Amino acid sequence: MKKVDQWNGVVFLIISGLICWGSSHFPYGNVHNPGPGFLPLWLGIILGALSICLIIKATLQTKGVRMLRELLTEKIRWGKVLLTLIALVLYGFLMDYIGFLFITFLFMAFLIRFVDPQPWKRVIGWALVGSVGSYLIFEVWMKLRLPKGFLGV
Amino acid sequence: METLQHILYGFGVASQPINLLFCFLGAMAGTLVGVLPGLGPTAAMAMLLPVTFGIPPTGAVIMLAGIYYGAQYGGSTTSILVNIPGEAASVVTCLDGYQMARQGRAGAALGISAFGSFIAGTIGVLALSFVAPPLVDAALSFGPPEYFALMCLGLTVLTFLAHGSMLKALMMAVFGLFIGTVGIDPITGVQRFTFGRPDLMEGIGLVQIAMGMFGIAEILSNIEQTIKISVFEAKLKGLFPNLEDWKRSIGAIIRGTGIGFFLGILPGGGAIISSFASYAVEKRLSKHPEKFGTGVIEGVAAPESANNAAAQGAFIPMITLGIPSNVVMALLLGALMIHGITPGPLLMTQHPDLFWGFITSMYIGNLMLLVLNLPLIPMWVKFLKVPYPILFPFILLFCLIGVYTINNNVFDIYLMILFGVFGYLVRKLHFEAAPLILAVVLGPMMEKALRQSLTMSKGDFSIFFTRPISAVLLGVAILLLALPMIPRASTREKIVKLGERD
Repeated sequence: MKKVDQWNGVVFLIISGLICWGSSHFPYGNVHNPGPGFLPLWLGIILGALSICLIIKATLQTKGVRMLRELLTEKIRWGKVLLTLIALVLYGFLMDYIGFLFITFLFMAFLIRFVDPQPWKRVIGWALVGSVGSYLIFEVWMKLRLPKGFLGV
Repeated sequence: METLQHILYGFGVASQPINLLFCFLGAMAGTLVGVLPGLGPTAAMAMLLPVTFGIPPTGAVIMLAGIYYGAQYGGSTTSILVNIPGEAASVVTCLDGYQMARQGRAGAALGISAFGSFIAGTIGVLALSFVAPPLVDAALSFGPPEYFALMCLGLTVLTFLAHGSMLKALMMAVFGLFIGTVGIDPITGVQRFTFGRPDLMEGIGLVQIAMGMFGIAEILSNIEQTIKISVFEAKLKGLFPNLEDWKRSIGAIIRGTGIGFFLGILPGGGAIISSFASYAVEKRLSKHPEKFGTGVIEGVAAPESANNAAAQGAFIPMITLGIPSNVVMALLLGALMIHGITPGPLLMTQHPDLFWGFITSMYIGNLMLLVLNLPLIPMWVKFLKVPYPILFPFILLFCLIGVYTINNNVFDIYLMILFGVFGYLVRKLHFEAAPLILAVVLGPMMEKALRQSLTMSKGDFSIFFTRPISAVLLGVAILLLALPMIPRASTREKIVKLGERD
């Protein structure tokens, strides 16, 4: 189990198992009159079969195989990716409480400052452009109802 | 004669000032997103889809067509100037386009790609107007088994043409079909995989998935490395190709258009394969094939015309049968459905304004790109020069606003992030996102067709093989699935490699 595709296969095999298990809760019907559980169950079975094929193929393959170690030692800036994801989730979480204008300013400033750090002047400037600009376009001009938050903007 | 009348009627609809405005806005916005690194027509359509929700259906569809063309054109611009293809279809344009830019001929390359697209668009739209009505008649004889078979074929072709492993592409397609089953079962009303959440009752929205897997995932992949874009510092002058350029390109444009249009009609085919194929054909026909890749103008003209013509061809299965043949069409279908319109054989008779207005607006969109967008190239280049650390929060913000405004629901934001992470991971693991997205759209339609077929035949699967059209379609699909398993005869690898090498 040193190859990436072996693990891919295993993960999808587990997913297919979950799909089959989930589908078993709905009426299967019969071939004459398939029920809501019919297609998902078969999709789960097909996905499982394909996953097993992938595991076998990866195990037998010798040339041009991607090893797990290569994937794990790739130079990736995981920290930056994680920071961006945290910012995205927090944006969704806080949007309704803080309101669109302010949360957007904070979101932009955070990303510009911390992902690939820029000088503060730039951070504030671009965050203002992004938040006020999008507020004017989407809220004022296009009249989309964006969340107001406790500050009322 | 009747067709001509229809076309004139279409022009009447498309040239109403308000529709012209929508077309213009779409083309501009599409170009803007298409110019951004890594974001192609698919991402552009997904990101800008919500903007069209508040517009009447005809205007919305016209705007979306504008976005599509704009994004495609924006993608060519980045291919030529920066050597970064916005999406797979413009990979080929990079080969000669970027070399031309390095030789100081960026203007001519951009010019010929715009003119080529325009000519291809013109021929394509005419062909479409003549081919669509008879096909609509044929489509009316399609029953559930034929629909099911055609959708199977579409998905199979898409996985067959996938860049990496076909097995993995198939897995993505099957997983996509599963995602399509989430929500209330349309036949029995049973809730499937909703975990009791009302937000999931209507299923997982296409926009949330597409924006996540094409928008957010793209950004995450870019952030993980330090990317530096070096815009080619060439003076952009002489956007009009000279006489010599025209002489060399006109044949390539016509051939590219033919190849593109016919490959575009095939389900699952479309822009990518046609741009590769037309480039390969030009290389073979050329008197100096060794010069391809060093900046020959035919190498830009052919694929650019082909992918534009393919886009027109791809509308055929979409507007006649209501089946999207690629991801862009899938998004368009999603948009139509949000507006309460179901594409299919009845579209032409029930919504003639929309049908013909849409077809002709594609033409007008092309013209608009030519007249308005070409002079704006220096402005688009300025966008490319905005440093990525400042650019990407803006793209994310646009995705967030776009997805939130679909239902004014924060849950959609979480779904988009979830699919963004999923898209990022599967990309790292060399899976392709396109089959999944197409499958999500086709899933519910396929399930309905399958269940109806089985009910019709009282559970007899042979219904798919005793009806001639569905038998042929399924036969081709099975053949394509079997091809990679036959050792030595790995035609698929040859086709894909041929494209990549060329």
